Amino acid sequence: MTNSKQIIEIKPWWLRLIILLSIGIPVLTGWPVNIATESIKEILPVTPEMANIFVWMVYACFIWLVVFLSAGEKKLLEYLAIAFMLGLTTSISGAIMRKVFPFIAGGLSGDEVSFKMVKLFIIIITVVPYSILVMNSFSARNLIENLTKMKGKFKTIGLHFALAFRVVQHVGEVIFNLLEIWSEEHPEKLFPRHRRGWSEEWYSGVNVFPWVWEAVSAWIFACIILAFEPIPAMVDEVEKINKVLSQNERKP
Amino acid sequence: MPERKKWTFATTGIVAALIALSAIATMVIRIPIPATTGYFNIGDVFVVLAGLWLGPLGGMLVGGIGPTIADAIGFPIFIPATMVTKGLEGLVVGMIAMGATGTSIKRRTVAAVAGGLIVVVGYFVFEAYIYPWFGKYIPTFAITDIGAAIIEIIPNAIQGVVGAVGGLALWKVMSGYNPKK
Repeated sequence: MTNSKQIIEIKPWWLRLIILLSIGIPVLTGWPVNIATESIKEILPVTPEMANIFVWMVYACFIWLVVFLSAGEKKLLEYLAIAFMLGLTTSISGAIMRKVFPFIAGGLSGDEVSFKMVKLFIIIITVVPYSILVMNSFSARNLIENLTKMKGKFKTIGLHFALAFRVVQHVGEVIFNLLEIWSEEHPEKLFPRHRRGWSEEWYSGVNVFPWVWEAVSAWIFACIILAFEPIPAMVDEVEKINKVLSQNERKP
Repeated sequence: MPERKKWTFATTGIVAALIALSAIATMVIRIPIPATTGYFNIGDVFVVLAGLWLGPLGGMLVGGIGPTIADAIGFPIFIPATMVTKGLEGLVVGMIAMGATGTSIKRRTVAAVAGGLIVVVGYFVFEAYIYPWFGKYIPTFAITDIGAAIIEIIPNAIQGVVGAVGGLALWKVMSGYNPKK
């Protein structure tokens, strides 16, 4: 299944966009999740909260199936790794901060907060694979090729849009891959238990703070360097295309 | 920088990279606030950086698009509030910083602080007044009230300070970057 690319092969591109947007309707509007929740409540002896979580889980499985069929097993696992990382960091940091600053719960009961957090976690592990699939279902190169057939101002605006899309695709790809690379090559930058002196030195409990600072700085600078590195080449390429197209337009 | 100049492909490249970075920064560190169903994040760092570096239009585009993409992943109800508040944050930071000369930091600090204030005031207005009003007609928006909005002032203020300090620090590092070199 690793080479299957059903969604990206759907043509024309606007049909592909409509299909992808239709798949993502529950994420953006909540419909038909609310209707399905009401139906399940009537059929099964469960609370409204459990019915809602059940519906979101079924939807998550549907999205994962779409990603599996469109991008293959390897990509699905990559997207899920990113999704679970984001979901877990959100849940864990939220739980810690609610212990430190209980007022952020706004007087909600423990059960109400738990329901909100579980639902949020499921939404994140659903929406992240879907969003990456949508982003990778369109090719900046094809967009540029189509733009070469256009004329005048629309062509230039289109080239700006194509460049922006290509840069965003690039940043998303390299930064999420960084996580996989660092987990193998520089685990000390990702996991506190790999930091220097951990569990051996008397100060091991305190040295987590310098580690947090170093890890965050390393992440920020690595992300910025990787994000900006190929921009000069990309800009140069688009400028050349624009120049050639403008010269061709001027020719009688 | 920033001064009024022609919008080039290089500007588009930088704006797109900052949009992606602000979306990722908003997503990676998220602390949910159950009272309002919102969350604390550090995406403002890149919105402030965009305003300081690229001016009002670049700041507005990065602020209005990047964090909004992140909201679509898990918190879609906040899309209108984020698009307006963060877009305004980038625009105002850029407008104030536009008059700064050379590498002067004073005016840029004022711009970054103004950006932080817009985050606090903008979300408060949306959560205390606009969303409850929307909620009368569209029940999905009835998730906050004035009490919840007051609770979120402190996390939003911390977010504003982190955004201002981080944005200024990154501007010092990044302002010399030129994709044409």
